[in-house]
Amino acid sequence: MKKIYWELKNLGAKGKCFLFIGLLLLGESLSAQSKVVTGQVKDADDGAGIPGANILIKGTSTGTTSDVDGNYRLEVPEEAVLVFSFIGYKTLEETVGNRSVINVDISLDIEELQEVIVVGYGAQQKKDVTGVVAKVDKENFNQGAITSPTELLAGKVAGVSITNSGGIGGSPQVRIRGTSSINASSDPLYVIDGVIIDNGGTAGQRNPLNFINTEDIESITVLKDASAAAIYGSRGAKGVIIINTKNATGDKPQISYDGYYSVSNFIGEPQIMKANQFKSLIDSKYPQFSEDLGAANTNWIDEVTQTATGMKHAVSIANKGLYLSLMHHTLDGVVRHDRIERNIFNLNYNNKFFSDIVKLNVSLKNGFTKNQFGSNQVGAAYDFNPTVPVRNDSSAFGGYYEPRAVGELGVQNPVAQQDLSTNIGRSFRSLGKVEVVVDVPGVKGLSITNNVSYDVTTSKNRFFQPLNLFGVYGKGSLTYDEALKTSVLLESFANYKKQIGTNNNLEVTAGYSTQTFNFESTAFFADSLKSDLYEYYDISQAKEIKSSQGYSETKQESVFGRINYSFKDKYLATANFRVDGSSQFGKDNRYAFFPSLALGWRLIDESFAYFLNGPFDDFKLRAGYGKLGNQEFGAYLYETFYFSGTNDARYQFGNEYVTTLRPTAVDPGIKWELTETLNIGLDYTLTGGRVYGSLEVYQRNTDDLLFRTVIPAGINVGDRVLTNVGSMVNKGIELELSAVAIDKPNFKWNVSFNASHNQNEVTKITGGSDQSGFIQDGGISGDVGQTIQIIAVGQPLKTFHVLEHKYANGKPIPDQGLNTKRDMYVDQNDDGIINENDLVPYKNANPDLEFGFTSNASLGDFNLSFTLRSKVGNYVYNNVASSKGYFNRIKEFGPNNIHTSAFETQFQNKQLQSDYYVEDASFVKLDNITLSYTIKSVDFVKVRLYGTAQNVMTLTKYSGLDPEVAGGVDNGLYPRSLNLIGGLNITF
Amino acid sequence: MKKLILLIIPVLLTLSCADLDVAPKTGTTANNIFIDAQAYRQYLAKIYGSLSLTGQDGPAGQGDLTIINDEGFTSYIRAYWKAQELPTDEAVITWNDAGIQDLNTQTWSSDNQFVRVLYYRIFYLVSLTNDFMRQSTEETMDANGVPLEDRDEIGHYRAEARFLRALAYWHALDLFRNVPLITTISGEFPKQSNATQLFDFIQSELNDIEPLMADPRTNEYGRADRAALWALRAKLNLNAQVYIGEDHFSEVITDCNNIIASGYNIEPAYKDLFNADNHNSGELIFTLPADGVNSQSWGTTTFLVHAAVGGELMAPADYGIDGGWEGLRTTSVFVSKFSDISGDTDSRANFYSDGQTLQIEDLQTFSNGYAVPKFTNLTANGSVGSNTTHVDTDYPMFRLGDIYLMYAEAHLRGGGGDASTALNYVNALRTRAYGDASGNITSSALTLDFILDERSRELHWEATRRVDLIRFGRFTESGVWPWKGGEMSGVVTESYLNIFPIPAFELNANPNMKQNPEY
Repeated sequence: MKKIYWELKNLGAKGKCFLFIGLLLLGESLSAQSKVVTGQVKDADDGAGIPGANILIKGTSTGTTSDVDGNYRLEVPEEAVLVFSFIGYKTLEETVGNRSVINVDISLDIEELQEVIVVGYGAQQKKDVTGVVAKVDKENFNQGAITSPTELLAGKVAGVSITNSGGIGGSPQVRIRGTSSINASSDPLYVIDGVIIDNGGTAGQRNPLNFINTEDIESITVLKDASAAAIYGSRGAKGVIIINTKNATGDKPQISYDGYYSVSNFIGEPQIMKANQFKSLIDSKYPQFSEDLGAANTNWIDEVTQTATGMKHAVSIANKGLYLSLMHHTLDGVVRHDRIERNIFNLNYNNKFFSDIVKLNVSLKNGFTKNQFGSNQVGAAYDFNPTVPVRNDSSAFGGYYEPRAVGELGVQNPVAQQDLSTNIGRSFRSLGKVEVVVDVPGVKGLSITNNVSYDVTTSKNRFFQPLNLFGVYGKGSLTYDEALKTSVLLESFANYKKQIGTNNNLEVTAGYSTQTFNFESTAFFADSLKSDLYEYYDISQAKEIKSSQGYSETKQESVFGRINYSFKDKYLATANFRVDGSSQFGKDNRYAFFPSLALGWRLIDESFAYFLNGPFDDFKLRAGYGKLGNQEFGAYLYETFYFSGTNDARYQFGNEYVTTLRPTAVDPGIKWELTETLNIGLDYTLTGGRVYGSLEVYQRNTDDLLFRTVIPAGINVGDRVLTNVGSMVNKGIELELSAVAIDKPNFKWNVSFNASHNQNEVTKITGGSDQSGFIQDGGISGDVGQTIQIIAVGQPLKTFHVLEHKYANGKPIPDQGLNTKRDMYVDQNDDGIINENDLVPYKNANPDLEFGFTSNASLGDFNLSFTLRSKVGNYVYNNVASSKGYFNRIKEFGPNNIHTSAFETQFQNKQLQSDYYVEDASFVKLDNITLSYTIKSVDFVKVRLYGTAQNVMTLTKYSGLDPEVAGGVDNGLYPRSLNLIGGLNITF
Repeated sequence: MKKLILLIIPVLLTLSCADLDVAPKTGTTANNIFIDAQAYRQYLAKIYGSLSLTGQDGPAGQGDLTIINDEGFTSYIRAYWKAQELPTDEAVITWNDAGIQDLNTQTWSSDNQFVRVLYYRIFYLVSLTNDFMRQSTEETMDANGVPLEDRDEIGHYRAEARFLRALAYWHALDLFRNVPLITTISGEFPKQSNATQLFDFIQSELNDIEPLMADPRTNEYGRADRAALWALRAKLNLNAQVYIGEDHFSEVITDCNNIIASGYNIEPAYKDLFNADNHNSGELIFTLPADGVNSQSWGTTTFLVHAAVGGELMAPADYGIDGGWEGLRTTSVFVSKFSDISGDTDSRANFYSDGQTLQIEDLQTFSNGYAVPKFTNLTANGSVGSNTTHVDTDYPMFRLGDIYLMYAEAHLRGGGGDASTALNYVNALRTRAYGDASGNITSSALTLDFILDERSRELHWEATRRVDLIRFGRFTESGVWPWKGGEMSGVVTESYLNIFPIPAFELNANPNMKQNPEY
């Protein structure tokens, strides 16, 4: 182990200055009964003095640092206890007593340097890891009103892109090293306390992970490359997120409370005309609608949004191996009636029996979630006539003003839609695990782990629209969905560790696992009610009911293993494999083998690399290769079924309406998606240990991409079949850098920075010979069935497919006067016609670069932390502007308000395919900033007060409300909010 | 210590190998559903339904086709109707869904989503029939234990399925000309066929199943009978010159005679052919039944009734519906086919002109061009259909009026028959239209040009105009109407536009396919 310490001679004037400040602080805290203590701080290993070590009087912020030889001098009160600390070393406490000279030897903190990382079916010391693994501890999580565990990670890990859905409690889009699938899910695999969970949602849920209390999370580990994730085989291709929750540690009971109150407000300036502007435009240009003008001045955006509040209370108790926690959390959305309410109970129990030979680990997580879904009517609020009032007492539609007669097309009163309908989901999810680890007696280093775990979700969703709601006037409607998901996982694996000679370390893990997933659902839909009296509680009140039922069962069986070998801690090798069998595939394609190999080379320990010894403390090269799979899609896809139609889709034969029977089109030979990853990486620690990080270069090739592809017409009973059709490549580079910028008794400042670049390219699409094939993607609003993106060979995913607008005087040429489409757009193929053949690929929604920056500074009892996040080169199609920003919009089942971009563009008709709407949405965001104050005056209790602001600031050129749009099409986003949180944390 | 080892064993025992054969519990596989005539009847209903319905859930949800996002657009007849009417002088549409305006102006490309969905809709019906035939062979029925007494009935179903496949292939031949002839379900890339092969296939199929079809007017309502087969064969042969360069007009006369001798009657009031209770009409030979409650979609007649209504003045209730879609109007050239547009003289002149302009300055403004509320959701006595959103009006695929005009045309083109019979047929339609003989013509007026105009007056908006214009050579290189070729006053276009392009999706998916000439 390379010894690390801080060399004051490298510190220069700046360090001496800090020393001086330290002495000044010392001067301030002199007291009458004080005396002077001197001494030297030495390295326990070689006896050399350690410069720059911290010496602090316990319980105060008074202290000093050692000089160039490790000597210190400090005036202290009689009964003082001195705390000696230095980065990378164990902290030592000495009671002063009657001593005036205190020399201490401090030793390297092996545990800190040998940080353990969970890697799936085991853990590894960080120094031995050869795969690409990133761990984020609870201290570094994002703060604020956070519901989903993945939000804790946003901006923290290079190559992990997390895009918030905007809605409260929603599922953020999580992409690890880009998108690796088109049709199957690209969400990572989640493993919670060792249990592989199915993360598919059900009706009534916002995010299936909402049953987790984020306060319980100890750390989150991300497995990014194949050598790390191959042990998860057919489910690892999209990366793995391992969530580990807290256990009781130490002997003393610990009780902790955390509570906060939050206030959220809609931010952003909607680009629509105000009532007076609207009125004058209608009067001057569209007199046919003058009679539709009212006297009101309604800001419909304000009407459909609200100031939202939230609160959380979380209590945990840890004692003697038992950790218990309870949490109650409520959060309203800025969309009216939007609300989430969670009650979560968590238990972790760890104990050892039979002379510590048997370890028992039990965990049980239960979350009740109630979701009230407010209707997001911001889109309708953009459109609605601002001169009419919200309410009209004589209205038959629940007292809400509706300008149209029933059956007439056009926008409906958005407030009525929100207020009159009810949409409530409830879900309960429970995840439990019992694990027995036995250190096999007589065989040193061999342990066997058996575990049984289950995951159950039950959910209901009810949606009710009363008879007097305009859209369903006179009929009403109700929907009732129920779902039950269960999975049972049985796993058994053995782990054997052996040191051979003094230089060889071997660790072997091998195991077997089987998992069964069941899904049941029932749904009722009634589109005619006899009355409103019973809301959704009495479906027998419905005149017409449609029902459906679903059931699926899938089974998975796997054998997996890993071999870790290291020689002299200098040469490292890890081989992982998994054989997966899945019932989701036909008999011929049921089993697959997923291997990986990674090598590590601690170059700094080589004598020929002596030159690295100056600047670096650690320098480790890694290379890994592996194969991974993706099987996240529905069951039984290889088999043709005949399904009956509903009663309103029957066909008349004579006097009978015959229920129809339809076959499904399938590919009997469907198989897994395969991803091969090559990663080359470097772990480095600069001299002194205060700057460390990693650099990665990778390429991921995904083949047999599953896509519901268009097939030649007539060869199967459908126009598309889910089949393995394409290939894609993701290439990238990632940099992580953490630094202890300042480490003084009173002032500590840690920063971490990450940057990543990922380039995605589709390399193959159809089975046909024509390489020009493309798939339409990225549905937009403003027109039925319209898309704005393509998936095309040679292009990245999410590439926009647009007409190239011609510009004059910096503005797009409008469709006015005698201007034809040919005057407005570039005729790419020169055929004199502007049509689909003139669409060209242009920009894409993926960022070229992503950055994250976290700062955490403590000054005395105050702590200030913030997270900055940035994306560069990501483009967004502004669908709000394109679908609402043209003058004829006023007349379409009008009068409608329009997006004010029309005044800029002068478009009369919608120009949905214009590249004008594809905007550079690069941004820098201050995601959250937290200021906290810890009260230390009371001995046995620690009280921390904090205030957090979320979504504080966004710097961008993008003209819409928020530049961060998953998928790159901005249409009807959930309104973004600024959240202010005030909280209190008490630990006994 | 031994105790500890014993503790491990039971846990290991639970990990016996998993059985990965998991039988599905929802949905049914072929061999356990096709066990009696009832299941085949349901499958046949699906094949018929694929002409007018769009999926397994009415009016939308679980769509059959997904190559365009909006299920309403995937309706067979809605797509077919647009292809046969919008590029002609009879209809224009307001909307600006990508590619729809290109149908108005004959400027479509192989990426046009409306062309694409029509192509795939045609072949969806073909593949359903191919699967139906595979699931109803004697061997399969033996294996599934289908009772022998059910097999006659299933034999009729098979014949009708083949009739529907022949109908779809006629559409494919007419619209796309060079398509693959597919009669089985397989993973192979099909080979492109030529017009002669398709023409011969349709002829031979129809000849094969002719004796197997039910006698005219004896089948259940909604199901095709032998008269429907004759009508299809007459349509094919009337256009044989266009498709394969041969004259088959005498065969047209034969089939028309057979139909006319089968007891169909001219409906007394023209408007009742397009009403909510048109199933009562004795003129209709083959229809696609619609029902506002039991048979819902956003296509077919629901589209035809709603899309034709709009503007500030037209009241949707006057047509039995809850709202207009502000879509379809007509051009001044079609309006000029009538000397009196009020409908008082010729009742087929059914225009709504209040608030509408005769000329179309802007294709995307509903008030430009007269509206044509020909199809309605009102019954003959004026009451509203069973549902004001989804109409009850059955889609008239073949009707006697058309057969009369086909007879007259085939006669004029040298197919034989009798001149005075031809004149009588034409005048029978005019007498109905005028309410008396005042509109009747003399034999000297019965020319091919007259037939083309008369077909438009009689059969406008019944999805035959494009076929007729092509047969008369007036669709592209000659014949001008507003917005043809993309110019407001209209210009001639090139003849390659007489057939549609093979969709780019198909070309991408099937390496055996070549694009139609000049696309």
